[in-house]
Order: sequence, then structure tokens, then C-alpha cells
Amino acid sequence: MLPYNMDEAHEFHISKCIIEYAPSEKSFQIMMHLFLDDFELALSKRGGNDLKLCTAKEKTGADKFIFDYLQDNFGMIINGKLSTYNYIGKENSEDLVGVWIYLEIENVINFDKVEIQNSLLTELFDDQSNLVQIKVPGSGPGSIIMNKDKTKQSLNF
Amino acid sequence: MQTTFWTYLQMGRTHIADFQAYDHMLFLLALCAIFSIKQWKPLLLLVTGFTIGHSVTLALAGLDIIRFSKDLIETLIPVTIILTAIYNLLRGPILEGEKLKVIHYGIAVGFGLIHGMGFSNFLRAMMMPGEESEFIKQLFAFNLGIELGQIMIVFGIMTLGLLFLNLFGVSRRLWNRILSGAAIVISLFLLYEIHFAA
Repeated sequence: MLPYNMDEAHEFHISKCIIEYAPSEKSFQIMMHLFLDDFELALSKRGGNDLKLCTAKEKTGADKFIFDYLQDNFGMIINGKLSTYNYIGKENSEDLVGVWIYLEIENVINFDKVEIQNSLLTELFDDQSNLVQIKVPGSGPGSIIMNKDKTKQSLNF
Repeated sequence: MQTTFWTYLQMGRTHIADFQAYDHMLFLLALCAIFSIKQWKPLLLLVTGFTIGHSVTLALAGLDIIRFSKDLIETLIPVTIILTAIYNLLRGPILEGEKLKVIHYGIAVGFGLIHGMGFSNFLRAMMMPGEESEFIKQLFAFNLGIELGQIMIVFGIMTLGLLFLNLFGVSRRLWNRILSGAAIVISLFLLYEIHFAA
């Protein structure tokens, strides 16, 4: 019962991600929420120092750091093929402590198997939990909790 | 694929039983310190009061009706633990009398309100934007998960107490002093961490 980690006695590390298939657009629309302090720390470890994300002083090229980071830590394999996604943009969360990032995968006509890869921030925090919610019309919404030990999940539709 | 309900239930259960965020467990420890397993009835009443309290603030903040400052909550939670433990040390064995029971119960509800604020900050971090019905489902599942975790923790503490009291012959008074004393010391560390450690 003794506290072994006083510094983080009340911290939690969580990201959330919603992946929704829009049949009318034939695309997957992805939005993910990351805590800004954690995310900036992760980007700074990759050379993106002091990016001041979502502020008036945001460094130019910050989006490139974000996109490169996502490329290494988030992916979707649709029908056995790694999909490329477009970076639509980002915005500060309403409470200012997080960032919402918007991505899109176009031209997905049909699919029966999707593998989600998500290792966001697990290189920094052992207790990082990455929540993923998937909404595909015709099958009820489902959720997955991903973490350091579980960075891949296959889904059948 | 796992349903959203099950996912949030699991997150609630692991959140309260998380050793990285042990302050809620510490409160339950302080709450249980003066009870033996034979007195499960008043203990159950207290735990239920705590549950009612934290369900209220969790729902209010989960549905974004009110928001609480993180700093304030992080200060108040150790304070609730310290007050409970001091009370244990001053009163010793379980109290008799209807009036005291009502006070006891009221305090459990009040402290529950404060801990619910703490749960709600975590819940808000994991709630998905979407329709109201989805929100309520996530909130309900998360709260249910917290209750399950809480029952497990209380059961664990009481079992530990049973062992120490009956097998190792530790007296009730000493057991209470050990638990309450530890709860006070750890809470003081928490307060120090929040306010003075950079």
C-alpha cells in the first residue's frame, strides 16, 4: 500500500481516438485527442522543441512533426494493406489542455478486415492507455483499450 | 470487438484500484480502519454513502454540468483522508448512538462528493464526444466499474484486517492506529507533493 511513485500519484495518461466510416464519402474519418503536455514532450524527444502547439506562437513546421510522429505511432491496415491518411488539421480542445487531430483515409470502397496500430505516447509512459472507438454503420460501436503491451488490434467486419 | 459499455466498466474498475492513483484506495482504507468484519452493516452503510456522494459529482461533471479545478480536488482528497483518519484515532472503536451514525453517514456522502470530482476528471479524459445517450452509457458503465473496484478493495482490506486481528493477534486499537497513522502520513506526503514539490 506504500506509494512508490509520488510524482505521479494523481497523473493519468490517456488518449482517445474515434474512427468512423462514412459510407457516403467512402472514407474513414479519424479524430484523436492527446494531452498537450504529454504530446509536446513526445515531439520534443524527436527534435521538435518548444513547439507551443495550439498557441499564437506555434512554431512553423509543427504540423510536420505531428504528422511524422503519427506515421510512426498510428496506422490502419485495411484489407491487408497499410493505408495512407491525410492530415486534415488540429484544434485545441475546449478545456485547452488537449489537442484534437483530424485525419482521413479516402477511397475505402469495402473492407472486411481492419487492423489498428496505436502506440501513441507508450514510449514515454508505461501507464499510457489509448482508447479507440470504432463506428461502422451496420455493426454497433465498439471500443478497444490499447497500451504498451497491446499496440495492434485486428477487427473483422 | 468489445462493447463500449464493457470498456468503460473496465476503465472504472482499474481506475479506482490503480496503484498509481492510490488516493481513493487510501480513503477506503481509512474508512475501514475502525471496523471489523462482524460490523459489516455500518461499514456497508458508510461505503454506500460514499458511493452516493461520488456518483452525484461524477454525473454532474461527466455530463459537463459543472467542472472542478484539478488543484482544488487534489488538495481536498488528502484532506478527506486525514480527517477520516484523525477521527478514527480520536474515537477509537465504532461509535454507538443514532445521532453519531447520521453524522458519520453525512460525512461519508460529503467526502464522496469530493472524490467524485476526482473520478470525473479522469472520466472526462476518456469520454468520447457524441450523442447524449452514448455519454450516459459511458458514464453509467464507468461508475459501475468504480463500484465493483471499490467492493474489491473494501473486501481486500477487511480480509487483511481479519488476518492481522485473528491470526497474528494484533489488537483492534493497534490495527486502527497502524492504518489511520499510515493514511495520515501518506496524505501529508501527497499534500506536500502537490503544493511544494516542483
